[in-house]
Amino acid sequence: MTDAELNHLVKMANQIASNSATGNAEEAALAVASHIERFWAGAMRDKICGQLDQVSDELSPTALAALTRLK
Amino acid sequence: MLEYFDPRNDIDPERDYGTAAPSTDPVPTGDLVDLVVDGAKVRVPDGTSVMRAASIAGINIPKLCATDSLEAYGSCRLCLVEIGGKAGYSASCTTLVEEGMEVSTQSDKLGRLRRNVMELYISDHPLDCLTCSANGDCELQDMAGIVGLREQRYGDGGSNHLDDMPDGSNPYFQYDPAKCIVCSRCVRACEQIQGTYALSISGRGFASRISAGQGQPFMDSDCVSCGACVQACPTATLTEKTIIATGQPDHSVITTCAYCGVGCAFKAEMKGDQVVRMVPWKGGRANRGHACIKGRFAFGYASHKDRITQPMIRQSIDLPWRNVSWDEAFEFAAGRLRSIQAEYGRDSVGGITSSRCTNEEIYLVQKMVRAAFGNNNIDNCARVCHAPTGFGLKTTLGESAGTQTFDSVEKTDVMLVIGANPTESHPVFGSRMRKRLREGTRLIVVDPRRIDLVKSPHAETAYHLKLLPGTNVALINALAHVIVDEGLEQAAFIAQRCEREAFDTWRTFIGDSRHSPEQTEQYTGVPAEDVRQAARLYATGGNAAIYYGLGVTEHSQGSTAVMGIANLAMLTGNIGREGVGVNPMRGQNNVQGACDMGSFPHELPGYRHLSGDPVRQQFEEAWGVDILPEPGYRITNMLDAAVEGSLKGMYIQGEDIAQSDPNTQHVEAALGNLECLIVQDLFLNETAKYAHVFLPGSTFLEKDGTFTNAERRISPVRKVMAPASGLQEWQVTAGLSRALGYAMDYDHPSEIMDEIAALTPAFGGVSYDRLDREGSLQWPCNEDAPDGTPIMHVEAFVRGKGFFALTEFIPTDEKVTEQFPLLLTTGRILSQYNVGAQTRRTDNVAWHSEDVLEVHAQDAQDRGIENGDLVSLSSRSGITQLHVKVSDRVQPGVVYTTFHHPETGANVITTDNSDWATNCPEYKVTAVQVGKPIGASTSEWQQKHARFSETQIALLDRQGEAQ
Ligand code: SF4
Ligand code: SF4
Ligand code: SF4
Ligand code: FES
Repeated sequence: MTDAELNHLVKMANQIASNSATGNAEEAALAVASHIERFWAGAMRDKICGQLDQVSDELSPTALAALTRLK
Repeated sequence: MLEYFDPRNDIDPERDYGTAAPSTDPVPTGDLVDLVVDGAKVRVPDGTSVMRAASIAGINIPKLCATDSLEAYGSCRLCLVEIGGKAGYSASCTTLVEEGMEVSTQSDKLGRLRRNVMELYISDHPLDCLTCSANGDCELQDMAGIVGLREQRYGDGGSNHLDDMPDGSNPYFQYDPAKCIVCSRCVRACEQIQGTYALSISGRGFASRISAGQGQPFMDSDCVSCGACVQACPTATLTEKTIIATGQPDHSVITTCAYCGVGCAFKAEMKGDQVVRMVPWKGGRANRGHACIKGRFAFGYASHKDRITQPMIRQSIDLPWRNVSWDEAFEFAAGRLRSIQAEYGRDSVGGITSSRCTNEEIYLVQKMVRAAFGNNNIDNCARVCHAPTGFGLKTTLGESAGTQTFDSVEKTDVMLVIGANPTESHPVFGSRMRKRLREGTRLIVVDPRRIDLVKSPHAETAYHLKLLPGTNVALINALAHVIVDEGLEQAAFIAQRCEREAFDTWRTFIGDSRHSPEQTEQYTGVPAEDVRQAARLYATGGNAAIYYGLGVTEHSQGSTAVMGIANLAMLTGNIGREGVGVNPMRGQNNVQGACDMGSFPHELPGYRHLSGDPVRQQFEEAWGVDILPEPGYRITNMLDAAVEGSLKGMYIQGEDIAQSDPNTQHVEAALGNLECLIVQDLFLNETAKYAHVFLPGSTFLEKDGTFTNAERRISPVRKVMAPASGLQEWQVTAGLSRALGYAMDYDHPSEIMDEIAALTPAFGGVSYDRLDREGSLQWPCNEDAPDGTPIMHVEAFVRGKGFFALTEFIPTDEKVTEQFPLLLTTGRILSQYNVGAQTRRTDNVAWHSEDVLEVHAQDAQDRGIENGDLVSLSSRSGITQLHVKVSDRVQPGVVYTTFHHPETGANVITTDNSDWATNCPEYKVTAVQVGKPIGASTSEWQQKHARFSETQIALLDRQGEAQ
């Protein structure tokens, strides 16, 4: 069974990443991490961070960098 | 000698001064004029009529065709006066004051003249005063008394209109031409106040009559049933049917409309505890005495037979409901929530509040969730409409709110309306916009569909930038690009008021040619030259104001678009004074308030993030509990978690997410998975069909509280009748909280407001006492701004310096494909409200009995579809079937519908795409296909939904059995 909630979280993280692009990868990852910290429920963050290996292929580099920070 | 001065702003809203105060735009010269009326000295501003000056001195000159909501017309000649040094008699309503003027309002000769006028009127008027519906509220009768009419010498034999037939086609009011005195107040009200131009006077002299449209019944004309003409009519000619049925009211209470974000003030006119008429209150600063069909007429739902007034519970949703006492309902609900939390953890329950509820109710629910549920899983339906406004304006300007008053439009030279349809969704403000447009203000509309404002009667031609759905950000960027490219920005304002570094970065970003209208045309479909002209007009046309709505926010880049809008305003210095600004048009009545009250998973009241220790501690101390420093679930996340199985209990106050939220089948799956769903509502709505506990709600007529409208105006809602269920909503929340072990002891909502004021700086100066005294207050209202704040960001931005955010355009994932080649966008219409739960239970259905799909003729032809055909509408989310209206309002490739009726289920079609920053759903863009219906008249989902609905209604009817 595919996990619809996880898929949705991946999509959301990627969306935040593409909307936070500044030209500087480091800065962008920081911005995404801070956005997720401020606006996501802990359970959502834990869920995606807990299965990061599984979804890393589907995450954009910025989203992955941000979530790795939050792990 | 007695002396009187025009009190200007301090007029008595209960009086009719005959003519309006002179306009303040252009700004009055400030010249005051002295005159003498019947021996009393009066000083009034230049431009005042003699009638108004006399009225200010307490002298009411007889009148029929004049009333102070309309321009003087001078037709009835009842208001004649003598003016020293002038021969003959002058109509005081059309004569303006002059320095040193001496006016006499009474003399034998004037008395005779007035009696003659009255006699003529009465000769063609039925003399059935005692049984007339206007008896007790008829200006003709009053004037006959005042002028001392004692005889009527014309006899009954002459030609007259006494046999003219009434027109009762409008469900709310009747037109009885036999009683018409052709004063034209109705015609002027329709033109000047409402701006619809539905009425005219046909014929001349004795034959002249009022005519709706081309001599049609009212319902077949352009009339939008705002009721302005009914209110203006001095006789029984235009009268509310409720008054005809029940008679005149015996008392009245001032309250606030519970429908849209305009927040109109009303006098609820009562007979005992029954509302007989809602009259927009002249003293209301949001509406200045005007209203729309919903607020004025659609209150019948409050006493509709479908209302549920008893608490009910059931073990599971396939069982009949059981009526129980309030206490039993609270115990049952609390017991379930607690056992869910014991089994699945503290985070397994959450709450949703509605923007239809009062500030006090919403505050209380978020308090209950934080204090009694012990988590931050609290969200508000603003999530699905204006969450991006909160995010975008907070980021750029520093405060999550509109910057202006509605009055500000009177100083606006250019209106830029993006993704909003004010004449349908915010009708009273729409009328004010139209009035300003007739005065010459220029208009730019950015919308995929032609809204009515584009073709306002007697207004200049508007720019209509017909973009493709989903390309707002590209278009807003293009506007900014042109302004920078052509050097039209306000450099001094930016240097003084905005963050330097951020601006420089943004300037480089926006200057890139990828944002030019020539390059963005490929996405938006709007010709580059049109964008350039509109940008020039916005930047250089004088005071420019942006009005935007859900057509901006409900996109995958909703927050980005809001930031782009704020950038435009800062770039051109159009912020911080009257006539300009950024104005989010709020959908429901209390969207602003619901956001202010902290019913968000990441914010405490007053938009303060709960990770901030000092703020959180302040609330922890006041409430005596620990508050989690981490955000909870948003609505969308709650639904995902429910489908996945980690969220098991929900408390939903006044929202119908099974109808209003996108991707209905996903919502239904979530609701069906819950072990405890508590719904508080007036009716067994779509969501309640999945509930285990039903707590009956109270209408806005049954409770005390406050609403905050789109201008941050806090207005009182007053209880005019006892709650049908015995409890007001706040008492219900307090009861549930008590059962959960967290006591809430309030005796009155005013105490809840006192708590809000004590904990929220922007509300520090707000109290029920002050609201009673002042009518309404605009926040921030505190020590720094004791009288409230009409215009924000005047000296500096709330965040200090304005912040130019980068707004890269990222096309939505929702793209047209071969399978789904059209774009669906959704909206609302005037007569219905949101999911329609209220308006569908009133005579408003006469205007909109079903949701229809607007399709361009080209697309219809390609598919062999004709006007009125039943079609299937499908997306990757689902299929529904509805009727087609072929319309040139939409462009080829775009289709449009509304979401007021559950049977249509427009949200079966919408997807779970959402705004990147806030998860506000992307209602406005869905790739769809339209085709011939598939077999039956309804889709599979519609059939399933109908069966489920039927079962649930049967379980409601069978409730007696189970007891
Ligand atoms: S309908 Fe009423 S307001 Fe209109 S002209 Fe007749 S009397 Fe005057
Ligand atoms: S109800 Fe409103 S729109 Fe209709 S005729 Fe009267 S003023 Fe005009
Ligand atoms: S629905 Fe809106 S515009 Fe209409 S009366 Fe109510 S608040 Fe005013
Ligand atoms: S009130 Fe002045 S002419 Fe009618």
